[in-house]
Amino acid sequence: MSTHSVLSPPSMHLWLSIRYGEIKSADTTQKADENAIEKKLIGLCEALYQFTPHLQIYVSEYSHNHGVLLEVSRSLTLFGGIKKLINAIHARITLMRGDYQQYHFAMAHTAQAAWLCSFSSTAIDLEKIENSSAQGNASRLRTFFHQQLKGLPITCIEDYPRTLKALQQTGFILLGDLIHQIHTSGLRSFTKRFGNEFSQYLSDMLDISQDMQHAGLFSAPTPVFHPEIPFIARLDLEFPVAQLDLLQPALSALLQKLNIHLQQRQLQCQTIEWHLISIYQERETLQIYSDTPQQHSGLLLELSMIQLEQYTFHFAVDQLELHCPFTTALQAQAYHLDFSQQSPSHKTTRDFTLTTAKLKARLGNGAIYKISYKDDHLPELSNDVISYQKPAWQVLPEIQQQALRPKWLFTHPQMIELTLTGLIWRGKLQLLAGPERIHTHWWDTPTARDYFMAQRHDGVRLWIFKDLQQQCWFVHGIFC
Amino acid sequence: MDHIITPDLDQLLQRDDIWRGARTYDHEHPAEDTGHPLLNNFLVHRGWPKGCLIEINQLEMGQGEWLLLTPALRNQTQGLQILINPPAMPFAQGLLQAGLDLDRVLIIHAPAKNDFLAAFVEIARAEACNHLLAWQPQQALNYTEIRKCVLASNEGEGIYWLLRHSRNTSQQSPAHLRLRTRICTDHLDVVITKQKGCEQSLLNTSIKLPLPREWMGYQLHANLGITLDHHFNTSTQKTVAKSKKNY
Repeated sequence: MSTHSVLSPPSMHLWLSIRYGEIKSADTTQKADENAIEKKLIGLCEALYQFTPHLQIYVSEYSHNHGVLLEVSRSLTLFGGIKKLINAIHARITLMRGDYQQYHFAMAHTAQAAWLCSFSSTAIDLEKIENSSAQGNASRLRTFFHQQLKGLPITCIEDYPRTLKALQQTGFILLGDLIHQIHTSGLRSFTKRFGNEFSQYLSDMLDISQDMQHAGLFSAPTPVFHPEIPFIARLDLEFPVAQLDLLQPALSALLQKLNIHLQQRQLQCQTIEWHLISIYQERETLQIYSDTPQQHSGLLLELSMIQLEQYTFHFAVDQLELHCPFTTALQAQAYHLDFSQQSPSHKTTRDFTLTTAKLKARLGNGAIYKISYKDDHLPELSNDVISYQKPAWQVLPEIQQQALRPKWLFTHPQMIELTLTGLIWRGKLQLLAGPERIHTHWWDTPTARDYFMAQRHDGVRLWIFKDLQQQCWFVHGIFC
Repeated sequence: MDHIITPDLDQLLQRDDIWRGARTYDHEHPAEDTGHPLLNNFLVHRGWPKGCLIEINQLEMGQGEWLLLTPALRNQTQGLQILINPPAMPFAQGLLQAGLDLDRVLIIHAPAKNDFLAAFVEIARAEACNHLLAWQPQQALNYTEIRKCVLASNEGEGIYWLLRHSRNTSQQSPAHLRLRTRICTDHLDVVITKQKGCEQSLLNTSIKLPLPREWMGYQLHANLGITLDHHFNTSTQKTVAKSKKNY
């Protein structure tokens, strides 16, 4: 007779919550605090990843409570039961540096219930949970956790402040009152009065079906935590190198590895770091940024070469390391929505991406731009400088189509000297056409100008105007 | 001496850059219509030569550069038109009136000479660029640097114009084609000072391109000078009177 063992998923989930208490903070730094809290919780998740991959962080929007939720039912056999597992988790948190030591923890059959139970002042009866879990008695465990929840005040439900207020006004004080109401009239009454979202929360928290008052037949998949795996690759050079052309093969080889890493994991990155290491372990770091996330190493190599061309080697490089600290999930190429349908030639700019990235690395972000028309009567305000990636507005109103407009425009109009012989700007001016009166911006800076086309003694055609308020003449553009 | 291999003459004549005296090019070189029939007659390839550096010398901005180049820019419906270091801001309304597609006009600011050269070389090699108008940076380019631009232009398939000050006209330049432009009262004066493979008779001839009709002004304005002078005189007298009062 042979013994067959069948692996099956555990009959019910066991969630462990680790909750950190309130941190008083000023409103101005709230956003910064939220980022710090999230960073701290991700650090905690990475530390606890050895116990279970099913981890999720929780940050309350309405209070400063935050923490981590772990689904541990699949880890009990490996760690020898609940008690041993919890002790190991405590020991791991104790080892961590920083503000991780003061926390509340609780256990329940759902993530939401475990979070609420962490507000309970009574200690968890681990013995009872362990016994029921070992016997596989799911209904007994559920009843036990429901009993625990019944004693908690409804104020624990922090995520629904308006509903909470309404519930308190209706006379609900404890979660037990809510559970009793659900047992007698079902969830429908809550759905009707407080909306589907709150009703769904209650059904998820108690792990009951929306329609029937028993365990839910279908549950959402347990979330899985994916720890950030930074890419670090090192190459030992055959001999110390202080010339860029000798370093290039090593750069290409490491970037090729990064390429494979990103492609296998469907990731993309925007920043890489080169660590140049000497034979005496001196280290210099060079950061390369790309304006758009990259999955292929071609552009990153070009950008690295541009930066290294201007880099002075302080020592001969013996080892080269490539770090890619941050990656994001690969996203499909995104294009700006263009409802105007004025740009039929987007494909012309596609293969220019590499060139623009190289130019931006050398000249800076603001060095490449486009101009666009903007609907404004003042010429200088109608000329809009836009990013080269944005579509330009090209619909010129009919009145502007007929008017005389130069090809060059001075951003700051240049003053014309007014003498007894006439107008002088690098030579005597003679009016050829005009005037075209532009009278606008009465609502902020009233402007009134008479524009003319003028010809200088040498034949150059200028676009000049007389400022009717200042009674001065200016050159604003050149026809050429 | 007997061992020196002499290249075949036919093989040598295959090269574009061999000067053949009064004989013009036999083989075809890609070129693009300038949009000025009169100017085309003076150009060996009957248009702006592609994949070559064209140098335009001007005394200052506003000497008919847009007038000369706009027809070629307008005729191309594909590819980017890139301006490096334009001397002023191109006016969107003016360019739209000229029929240019603003989505394809890119402006690059590279005031330092090294950056200018790097940008020129990168752009000339990019397939997406059809037309390049580059104004030399404040620090003038020397022969070697222009040669770099020439080599980069030869790698591309677009039209590459390098606009320089007329004081550089006397200096040697490796550009394929050199022009000098000057705007006059009733025409745009274009003079070809260098053109590879062309007859001497085509060089240094003044080519008079007509100006747009609206640039000639209106008859009524011819008399405005007098009125204006009167206006200036009265306003100046008023100002003097005012200032006297203040004293």
